[in-house]
Amino acid sequence: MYTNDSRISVHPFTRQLENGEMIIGRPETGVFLALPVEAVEVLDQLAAGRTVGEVRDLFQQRHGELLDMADFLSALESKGLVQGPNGNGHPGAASIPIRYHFTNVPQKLAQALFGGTAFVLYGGLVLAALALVALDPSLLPSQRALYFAEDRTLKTLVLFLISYVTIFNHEMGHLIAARARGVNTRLGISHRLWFLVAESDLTALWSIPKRERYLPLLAGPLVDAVTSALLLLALAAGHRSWLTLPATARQLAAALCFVLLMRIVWQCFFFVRTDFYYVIANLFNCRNLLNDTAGHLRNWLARSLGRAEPVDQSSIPPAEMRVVRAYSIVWLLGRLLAYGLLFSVSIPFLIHYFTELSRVLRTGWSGHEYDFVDTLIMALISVVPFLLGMGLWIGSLVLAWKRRRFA
Amino acid sequence: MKKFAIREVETLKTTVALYTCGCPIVIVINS
Repeated sequence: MYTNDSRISVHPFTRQLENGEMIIGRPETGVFLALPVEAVEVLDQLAAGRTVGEVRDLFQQRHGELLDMADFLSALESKGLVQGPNGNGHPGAASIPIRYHFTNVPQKLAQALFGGTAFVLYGGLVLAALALVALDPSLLPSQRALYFAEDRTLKTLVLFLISYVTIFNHEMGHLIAARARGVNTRLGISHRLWFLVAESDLTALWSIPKRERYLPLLAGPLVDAVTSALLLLALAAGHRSWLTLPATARQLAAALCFVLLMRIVWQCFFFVRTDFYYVIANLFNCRNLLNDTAGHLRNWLARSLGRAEPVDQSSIPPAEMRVVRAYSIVWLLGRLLAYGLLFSVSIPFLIHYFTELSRVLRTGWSGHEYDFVDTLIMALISVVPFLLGMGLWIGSLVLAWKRRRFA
Repeated sequence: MKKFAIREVETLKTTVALYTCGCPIVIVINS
């Protein structure tokens, strides 16, 4: 309970004025909120030691309105931004500090890796690779690069191991670019729909100005682009006999280049939260584009069925709602495409693969040793990530359903 | 009584698909 004499402990918070709104938050807990500017004035007065009653009176004098302090403070307390009177607040999960990774990367090194000179070098490499591909389009690997005529399993396994190293490099790209701006990152594994993904939690980027967020958000694809460019340059040098590349190295380089280019294509699937999605959301000043779009579509469905709207979106500014309405088309078409591919390609492929797997396992080691090892390795690198992704997705759907049901 | 609109901004979690870009294609092509 807050009385007029209550003094509130306000945790130190970052602030960014953006599009008429203030974004405040605590990077150490990863909680950020968008508030009206006058709400932050109220917080500043509380932080300065004024009582709840004094702050309410001041607000009324300045704005001519009586402020619902209890509603405001309990909302902030639940997000771990303030602590209630007598320090008895229960902010729960919102106050648990995030364990960030590789925080010992020196900021100066990070700034050098993502500074002006480095960009000239990266840009030069990518432009040189693009020029070579323009001159000789056959240099660009296609999906045929993934076909290995000999030692298929071994080469596929090596390709996967290297591609996982490049995934780590991609995430480190995000992390180091964020470090260059003094922001910490947490790396992890998660899912987008049923796709198993590696992810970098860059939420603390809300603590820096909007224009400075682009580079950390794009640093991963930038690492992929530069790595692809290096591979293309090596392949071109091999093609012109400037460099002697063994056939296996050439095959693996082409295959890896294709995988990296596909990874950049993945970022264009911005109907889920990919790197390019965040760039677009940041560009259009959206605070929670995907959630707001899902809410907008739920409201639209409810209206169509003659029911009351389940999600209150009255606090979303009109300019943001226009983006939400446009993005809802991308959301719907993207999901239509993804579900179409799931049922037409992924699931039939998985059924086919399980049939093969059970046949080989039934025959056992004595049937054909190579067949046995081959199937097990392929299952490990293909079916296991797919099933993990599916499991995480179904788990999240069940959790969301339970939350809505018991809310 | 005045109530402030408080909106939680989304988490910024950039991603890379761990298997989709390449893996099924590798299996299909090589099978």
